[in-house]
Amino acid sequence: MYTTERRPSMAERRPTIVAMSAQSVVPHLAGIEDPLPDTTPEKVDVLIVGTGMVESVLAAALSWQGSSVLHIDRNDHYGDSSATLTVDQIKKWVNSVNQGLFSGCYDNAKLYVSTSIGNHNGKYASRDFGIDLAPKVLFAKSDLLSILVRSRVHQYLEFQSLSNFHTFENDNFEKLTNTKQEIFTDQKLPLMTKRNLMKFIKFVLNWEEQPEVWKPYADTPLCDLLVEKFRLEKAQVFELMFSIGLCYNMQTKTPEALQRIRRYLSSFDVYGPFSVLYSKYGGPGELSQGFCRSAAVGGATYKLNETLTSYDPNTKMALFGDGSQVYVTEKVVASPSQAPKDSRNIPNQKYEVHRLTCVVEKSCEQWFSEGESAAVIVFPPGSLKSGNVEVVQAFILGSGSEICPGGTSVWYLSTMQQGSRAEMDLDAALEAMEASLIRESSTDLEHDDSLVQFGPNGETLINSVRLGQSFKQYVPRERIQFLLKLYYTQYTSTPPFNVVDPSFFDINNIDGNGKLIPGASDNGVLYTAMPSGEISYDEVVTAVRVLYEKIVGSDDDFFDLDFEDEDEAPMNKADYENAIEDDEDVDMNVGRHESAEFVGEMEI
Amino acid sequence: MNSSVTSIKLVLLGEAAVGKSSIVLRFVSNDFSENKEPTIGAAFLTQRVNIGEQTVKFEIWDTAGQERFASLAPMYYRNAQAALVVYDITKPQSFIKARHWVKELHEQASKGIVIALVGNKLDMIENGGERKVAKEEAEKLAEEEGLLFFETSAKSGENVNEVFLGIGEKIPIKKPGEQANEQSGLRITDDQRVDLTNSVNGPVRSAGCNC
Amino acid sequence: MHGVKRKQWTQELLKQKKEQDRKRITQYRGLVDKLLDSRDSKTYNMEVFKETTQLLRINPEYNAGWNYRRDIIEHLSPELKHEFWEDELAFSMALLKDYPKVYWIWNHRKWTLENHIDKSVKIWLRELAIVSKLLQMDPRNFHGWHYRRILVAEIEGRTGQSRDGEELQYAIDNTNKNISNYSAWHQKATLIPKMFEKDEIKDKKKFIQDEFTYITNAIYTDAEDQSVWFYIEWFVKNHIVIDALGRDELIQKLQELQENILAINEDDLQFSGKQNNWCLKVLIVLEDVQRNLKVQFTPHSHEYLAQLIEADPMRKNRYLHLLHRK
Repeated sequence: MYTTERRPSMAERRPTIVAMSAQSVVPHLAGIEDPLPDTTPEKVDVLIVGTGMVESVLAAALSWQGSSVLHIDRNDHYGDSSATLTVDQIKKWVNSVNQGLFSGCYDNAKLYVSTSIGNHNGKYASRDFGIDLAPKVLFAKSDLLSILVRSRVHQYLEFQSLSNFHTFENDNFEKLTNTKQEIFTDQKLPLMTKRNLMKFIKFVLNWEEQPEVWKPYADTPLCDLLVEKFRLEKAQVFELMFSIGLCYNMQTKTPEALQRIRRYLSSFDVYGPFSVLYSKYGGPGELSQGFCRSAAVGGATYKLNETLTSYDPNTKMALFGDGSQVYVTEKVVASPSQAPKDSRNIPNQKYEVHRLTCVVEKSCEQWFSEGESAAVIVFPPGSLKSGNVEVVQAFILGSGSEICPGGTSVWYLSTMQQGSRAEMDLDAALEAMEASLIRESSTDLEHDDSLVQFGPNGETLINSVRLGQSFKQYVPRERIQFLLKLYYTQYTSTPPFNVVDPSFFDINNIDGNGKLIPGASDNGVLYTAMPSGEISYDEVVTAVRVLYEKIVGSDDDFFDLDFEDEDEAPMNKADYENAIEDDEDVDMNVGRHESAEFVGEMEI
Repeated sequence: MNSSVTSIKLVLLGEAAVGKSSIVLRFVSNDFSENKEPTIGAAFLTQRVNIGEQTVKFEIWDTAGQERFASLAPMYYRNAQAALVVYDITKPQSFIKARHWVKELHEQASKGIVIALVGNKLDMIENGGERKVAKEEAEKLAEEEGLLFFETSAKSGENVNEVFLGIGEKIPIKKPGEQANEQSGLRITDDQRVDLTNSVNGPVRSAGCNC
Repeated sequence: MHGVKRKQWTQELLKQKKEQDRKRITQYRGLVDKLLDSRDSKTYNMEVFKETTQLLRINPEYNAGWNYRRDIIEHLSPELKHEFWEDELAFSMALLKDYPKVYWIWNHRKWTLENHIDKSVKIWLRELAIVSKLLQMDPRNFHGWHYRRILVAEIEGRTGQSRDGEELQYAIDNTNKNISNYSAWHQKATLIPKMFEKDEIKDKKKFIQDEFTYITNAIYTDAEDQSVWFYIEWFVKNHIVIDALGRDELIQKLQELQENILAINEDDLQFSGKQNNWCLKVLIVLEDVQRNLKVQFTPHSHEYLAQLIEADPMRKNRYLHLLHRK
């Protein structure tokens, strides 16, 4: 089925490297040893089209495996459908979408940009902003994170923590109570609720080993298990399913939802008291650049502003927009968003992700945890005026993330709701955020008499607003300034909750038993999946792994890299222990252990 | 013992074949950095150098060939504290390119970046080759743009150390007195940055990955 | 190796690596031998001092190396300046970062402070800040907790002022952060009686009432955590509770606690079909305490013990012994 003959790895291909590294001499690294040619190669193993997240990680994986890779992108920037764009680039991108350049991938793009951005005398410059087309957060315990570390791509990036997850309910934002500390010290939670919540949190960490608890609920939505078995209240159920689990609707089945809740909880305290990180200066767009650079260091050739015109699987020649061509020995992998004209093989991207991205002239610090610059707000089903059935998720980034200037923030809203009602849900969520923000920031003006309202018993309402109670009567005096508002619909072949199905890549696999479509410019091209609506990076590595296996034959050596770090790894501890002689004189000034006041077996 | 190390991200720019890499190789492999072997990570090359009482750790980013088709990513320039813009003194074209890179740096890189303009291949002149870029012209550019300027020979090693030393001296380094805390071992980082190799339960070992 | 896959290491490379390791071990042994010789010949100079640095970096658990190092410092001390002592602190801190659980490093650090040229309380206060920071990163390092107590005692001795209040707050902050922080509970158990005795707690009654609420909160949050149960056992048996509350109120508090523990145990039984051993054990303790207070009640200890024997067969004999005693 696949070629059994394995391509020699980087090490085997360059025998000198072994000798060299043994002597601690600089090994060959692209660009640092001899000058590279000014022309693109005539022959490559793999041609990758589009520098989105999946394609970039794939390029790095293949380069370090030893494949020769030519990686192109038709844009003048990296990132493709997961790019981080300036405002000018957004404008251009919206035009392209509306001209139908990304048909099947994006449509319905609407953009509003305030005159304060750009225009020479505007308050802000276009490049003060880095807007992600498919923003993502990174769980502290995830496959992508370990690949970032193993490939050392993390050294190109800066990560920051995100602790605050808010759940919108009864016209209010409730901050998540999810850590043992918060549960323990929370004054409002009833004792039995604390216990039930803790019991569930402990259970979920190794739920698979306790089928007696969840098996009866295997085919029902998780909320049944939470309510019947763990006797949790609606507020906790919503927090667990939608904020911690980031599920999209009430119907999410028990196993999937448990998996997602555990993802959050097992990520907690890996790097500190938070579960989620994001990259500074931009999300997947930034990570794509990092993996592309890694691929380049591993030997891949990069060319932006280049389009694939056609590929012929018989001659194995790929033609480019500038008239050049390359012989591809193994595979052409392309993002659907960069498919050549007259392509007929793009898999159907049948799921919609509706997005609304706003730049707001407010720092939104009140939503962030101290010292942080980001938050997630989740609008559970039925929490919005629009009567939303699907969740709306909002990812907020402040200026500390360096994607927007001081005093502003970027709000990324998205929903998996299909069809035209999605936009109503997004608008309703935006309105709720706006109202809350105006309300909260107004109450900061402590000495403004006009804002103080008294309740029936003479207590001031400001405090109760601070405590997060509803304050519907309040009429905002000022409106939030929107610097940018962007609506678009993105299409993906990845269904909500699923990772990429490997069979997806077999659709036009002519090496198998696929058929050539006459006149198609993309026969034999392996298409990647467009980013899904998933807010985390979780699907990326799975997708890359599947593609890698398709190309290389097995995923045994997927990112099997062992870079030496600056500080030499210490010798095996056992080696020392053998070499250590017994201590001769032991002087104990300080007790070596705790004094035995209540140590050990309990006296009963 | 050195109580503090300052890291400097240094990026290389210049036309192909002007000797960008040779300058770095010369720098990292000569006596200047005695007993301090360079580390080649997958990410960048690091080299420690003592400047006065301080140890400076250069993180040297090469273009990895991504400049060939104008495909350098914004990430490359981001937070670079120093840049070497290299040209070949026997190739006027490469000096034009150098001007372009300086402009690019002023646009893309951070405001305080220390840029060193480096005319390489001095040895070729000394061996009778013809100089095509006048020293005065380069000096003028350096003065206008506020750059450090050196003419070097990566081949003989002439002036190479001075480039890095010059950069190291020009970058503001914390004075020992400001690091009293660090001297007694207390490191308080008010930076929001999370170090992915340093998890709460001990360092993340690359081999210990379970994916 | 740079970009070289582990699996593809050639035999040659593996051999080289082994050879390198062997070299390092030989080097280490050589260093040890050399130092022992210098020590026996009573050599005390900067050169051998540096050699101890080298050795201890490789193996900080080699206590003879630390001892010799201190001997050298003592001999050289008239010439040693402020900077030397600061460097010495930096040295042990660098080692602690890699080996936070090696006792000898903590020990040497303490010795360094005691012999530091700066005799002011300032360096001890600075050290307290440092160790608090370390404990923030690794809150359950009992070496750190122990060391911290030594520092506090030292500072109290030098300033003549009690730090009990701060220390109690520190312990509470830590149990708030993590109920399972055994060292923090232990710190509380050490401080509270001391503070009662020294009259450092103003409203003793309220303090004990609040403490009952706190531990109840804790067992509802995590009924599996042994630190809390150990603490409760200590707490209800300590004379401070009766001193502060008086017999009647104490009995009332004990019975409330008992009811809450029974509720938790019942909840466990419903959820998993099993009783909670910790609940049973502490219920027995509570009956003991009440018996000592001459409270009239229908005892269940035999029942609890019988259940424990079944649920915890490892300690069967102990329970049997107790069963027969009662």
